[in-house]
Amino acid sequence: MFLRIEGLRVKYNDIEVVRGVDLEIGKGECIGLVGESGCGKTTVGLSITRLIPGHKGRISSGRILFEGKNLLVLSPEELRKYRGSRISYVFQEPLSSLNPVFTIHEQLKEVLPKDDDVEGSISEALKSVGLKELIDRKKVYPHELSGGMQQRAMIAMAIVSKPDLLILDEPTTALDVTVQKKILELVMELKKNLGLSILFISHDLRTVFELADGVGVMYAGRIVEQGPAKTLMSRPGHPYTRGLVNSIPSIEHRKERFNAIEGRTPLFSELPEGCKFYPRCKFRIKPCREKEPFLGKFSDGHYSRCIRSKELIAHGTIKGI
Amino acid sequence: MLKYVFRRLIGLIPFLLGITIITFAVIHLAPGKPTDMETQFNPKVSMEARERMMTLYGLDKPLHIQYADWLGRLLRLDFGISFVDSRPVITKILERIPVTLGINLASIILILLIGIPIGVSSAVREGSFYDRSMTVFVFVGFAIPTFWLSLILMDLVGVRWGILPVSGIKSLEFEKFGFFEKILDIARHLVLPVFVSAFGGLAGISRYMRSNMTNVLRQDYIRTARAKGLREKDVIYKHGFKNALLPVVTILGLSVPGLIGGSVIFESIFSIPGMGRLFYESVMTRDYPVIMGVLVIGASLTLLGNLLADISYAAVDPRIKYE
Repeated sequence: MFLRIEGLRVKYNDIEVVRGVDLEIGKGECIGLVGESGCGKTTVGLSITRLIPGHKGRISSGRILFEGKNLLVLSPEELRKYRGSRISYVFQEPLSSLNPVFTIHEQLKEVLPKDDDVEGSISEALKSVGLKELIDRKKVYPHELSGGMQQRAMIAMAIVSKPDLLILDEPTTALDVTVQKKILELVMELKKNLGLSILFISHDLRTVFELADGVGVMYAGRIVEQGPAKTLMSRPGHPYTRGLVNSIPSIEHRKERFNAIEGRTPLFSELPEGCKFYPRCKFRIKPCREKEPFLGKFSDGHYSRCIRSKELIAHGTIKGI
Repeated sequence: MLKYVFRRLIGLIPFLLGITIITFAVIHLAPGKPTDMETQFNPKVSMEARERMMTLYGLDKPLHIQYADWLGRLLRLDFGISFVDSRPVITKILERIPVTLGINLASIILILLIGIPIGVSSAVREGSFYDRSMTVFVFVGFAIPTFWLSLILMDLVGVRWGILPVSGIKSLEFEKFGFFEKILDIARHLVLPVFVSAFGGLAGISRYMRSNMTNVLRQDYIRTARAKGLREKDVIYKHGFKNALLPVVTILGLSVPGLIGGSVIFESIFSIPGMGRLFYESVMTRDYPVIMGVLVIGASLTLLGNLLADISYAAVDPRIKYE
């Protein structure tokens, strides 16, 4: 397997926010990671190259195998060889993610080793993200670009060294809707042309289901359901996934009101006993409260952490509730 | 850019005028007269002699006429003549500036050279024992009264150990020295004053730098720099440092007026003939022309320093441009 996360646990000040996550990404695959804000999905992404700010959090256990090598035990110097050149990131806010006092050109340049054809690679990267006009304008600073162009520059920075894995952490959340679409199209085009593997972290379900091959749904620091995008969309096995899918507004079926999931995500310091989704679940029964269910397999590659998944998958809903 | 500077310079004129009006009024309305030294305390001086003196100094005219006279002279860059020794004010100020400027310049350079590294290294090791010790160290410097530290150091370094001279800026036999000996002699005299003023000023810049740097190190672009696989050294000293240094430029601009303003306390303790003492003496003798001269120069430098801070900020931060 190309990238394999095993039993990842992360603590922020002694509070566990990622509570044992397993995830696999195959070569050339796009895996989506979805969930509400604060469910731990960004932390999982940052953990892959150990980017969690040291003063806040630490990875307490687990393995992250990249082409069979555990990134969590590498020395900082060895890890640097993976960061940027093999695994790269595109973050949410392009303007704050770019350094304001260096030109785009300088920021692209430092990703590359000095002996390479630096200018050639930069031109190529800028061309492939649609920023051809910046190739000869080397004095351009981030604030001089529009939000969409800034994110394109971020993507250029992420692909300039031809990495194998691209981690997109809410890459379009800060952008206009029309720009969002263009950026996503660009990402998918790059994936095809460069054979990139992608971890797509987002709370925008519609896009994730559209673009990703497989999707992991996170809730309270754990994956609650995982499987092919189509399966999760049509036959979700976990009440939380079902709630998320139902909450996607659509123009065809205009509703009186949005089908939001009732309640809010619990604080990590006050997680309930048993199933963490219990307090918000429409299908809860007594045993749910006692023991947190394990991630059970329901069909090939489809896993769900719910004792009633079988009924949900079979009937789409559960009658009488 | 030039147009902007020019516009700003023109804009400074009303400020300067306002400052001179207020200070002129305050100083002239304050109790005591320049003639008191010669007259009030001398019973042999008659009423007529007193009047003659007031007329001589032009102090018998109404205040606004006096101000107009003074301003008229100032426009011709004539700061007037000291009431005390009849020497031109500008000469008196110019002979005091080099020593004060020298001490302040040396001390601000020292503060920057020590304070910035302390601030940055504390921010990088935020919350560590080192960070806390540095905090204590700079605040001790900030809290210790200048006069007390000066006296202690004079006693230790100057008297008990006898390593450095403790007062004045030249030795008695200064005139007999060769060129390099002269420089060395002045340098030896300035060690203590420079140290004392730098120690007290360290807290400001190092704490300022520390808070800039801790703030910068939490920014998204620092995470980006790490994600790009840069060395930690480059992440901190290239991406972090440059951003954290930007606000310091403003501080430098604002410290321009301070460069020629001396401290009365330690100039008195170390017997340094600087601006601080000139100002103090002229206030005590109600030497109006000298007081006004020092204040006008100080006010002009403050205003120019502000302008300089704005201009230099635009020079270092690509996001700021003046049209």
